[in-house]
Amino acid sequence: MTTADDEQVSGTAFGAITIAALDAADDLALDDLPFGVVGMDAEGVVKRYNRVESRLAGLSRDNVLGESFFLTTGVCMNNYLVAQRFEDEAVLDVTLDYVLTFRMRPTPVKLRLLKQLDGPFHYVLIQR
Amino acid sequence: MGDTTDIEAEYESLLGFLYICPVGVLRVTATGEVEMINPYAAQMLVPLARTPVLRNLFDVLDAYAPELRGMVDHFTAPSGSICQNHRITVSRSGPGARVIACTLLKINPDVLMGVLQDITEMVEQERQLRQNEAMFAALVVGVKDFALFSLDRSGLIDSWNMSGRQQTGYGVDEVIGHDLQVLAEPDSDSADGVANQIEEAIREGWSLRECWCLRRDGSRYWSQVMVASNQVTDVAADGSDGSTTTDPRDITGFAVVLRDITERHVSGEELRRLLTTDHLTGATNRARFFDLAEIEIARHQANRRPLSAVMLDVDYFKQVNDRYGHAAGDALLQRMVTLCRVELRSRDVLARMGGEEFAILLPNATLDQAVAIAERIRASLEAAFTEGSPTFDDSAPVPITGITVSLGCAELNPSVTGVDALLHAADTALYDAKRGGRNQVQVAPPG
Repeated sequence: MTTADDEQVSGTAFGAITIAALDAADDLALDDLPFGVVGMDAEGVVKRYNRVESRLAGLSRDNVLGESFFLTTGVCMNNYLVAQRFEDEAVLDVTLDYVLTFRMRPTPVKLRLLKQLDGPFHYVLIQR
Repeated sequence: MGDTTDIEAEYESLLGFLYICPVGVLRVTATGEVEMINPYAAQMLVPLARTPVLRNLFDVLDAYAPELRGMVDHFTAPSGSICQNHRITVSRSGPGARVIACTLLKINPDVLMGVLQDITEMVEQERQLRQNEAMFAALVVGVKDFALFSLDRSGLIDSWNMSGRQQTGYGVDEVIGHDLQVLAEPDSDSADGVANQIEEAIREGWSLRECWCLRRDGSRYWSQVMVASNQVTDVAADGSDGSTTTDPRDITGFAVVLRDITERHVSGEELRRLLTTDHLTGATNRARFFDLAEIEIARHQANRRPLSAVMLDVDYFKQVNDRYGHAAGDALLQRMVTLCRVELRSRDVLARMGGEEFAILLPNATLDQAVAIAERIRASLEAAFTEGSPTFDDSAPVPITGITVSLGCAELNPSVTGVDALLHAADTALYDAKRGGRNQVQVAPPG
């Protein structure tokens, strides 16, 4: 439940943006966000992937959309700390410290997991 | 410009490869600092770390494999394999414990490559295999009923165990180095038998015979002796042409099973045969037929494959007994069973229900198929009792002619649901065939 100290709590900040705002934003608006955004459907298939996330992972959006996130680029989150929570919990808004493997470097990040009842997508937000 | 794009595309493809790679791969320094790590390795390690940091491999694994750091420190060579598939149990909850295999390769004094693999499933399989082996060993060594031991390639006993001792009373020193004759009764014809049996086991792969054997205390027992050859499996390795005939040079030895069957005047197999077959004809008996029919009906319900039955009755059988005598009648029934079997598949059940009445269960056969089979049986039997036909047996003591059968067919369906209903429907059709003039096949009327 932490947010970075230097972060302005505004409608588009990492810790403040709402799942409704993410759903409403078009692709260009997602690209403008200063943190990684991955949106998945209920089966974990990547439907939304913004520019920051593409740059961090070193993968183009076209190569990621339509893939199963936790089986391809998000393998390191496929455990009880992240993937399992999306399965188990109906509603999620939780922020946690984590280590990802962007371009095979262990990279400390903050993850925000977002899921709401009957929402079209659930999201992983990633801030370095 | 084009080259740069190519390299970028290749780089992305390589990254994609490492993201998906289903084996954990990582590069660490000599002190364990993680320099590169693929997602699968992170997937295994992050949940193990007490804090969500993944800086040092040895720190993360310290609680599960504290020896890892020492293994690296003691490996003084500038490069080489530090460990291969070193097993690290990362959860301590009994049989379902998760196990990671860790391989560490020293590239140079300051770079280590690591490979991590989740081998939980493999470890569980190994555990079950060991358990099965232990159960098998207990079965073989603990049993009093038979002995299991081995011969070397020249046919001399080279292993002996508790099962052999219990069976024969002989100790290790009294049998090792002797051939099988040491266990047999001296004046039996088994001296030739032993040599013949070894020869047969070399030729055929195995050999079974029965003979009198002697225990150490002088008591004798009727024994089954099974000898099976152990062959080198890689026949091509010695330069042979790979043909399938056994080369005696490939035999590495023999396994022997010795079984005391003195008490078994009626062996289990014999007992089973007596309980399940009709004494006269060898067909399945009535009780067994109903057991098998219940099993097939359960199968039918599970897989929805068709199931049919045929009732068969010999026409004017009473006249055969009257004219030729009961012995001829019995011989006729036996011959008919043999002839019917030719037309049936191995899974079909031919049962004598009583007198001259038979039932045939046809798994996986529709009514049309049952009618076709019944018609083949009818034609085959008619021909077999027609003088001059190719199948007519004129060598019989009393050649019987003019015998025919009537048959009724039915299939299991929503209105014919059980064994009794199925047989009743086939029986009704059989009586239609009788009323219709005999020597014909009739079908149960629908529903």
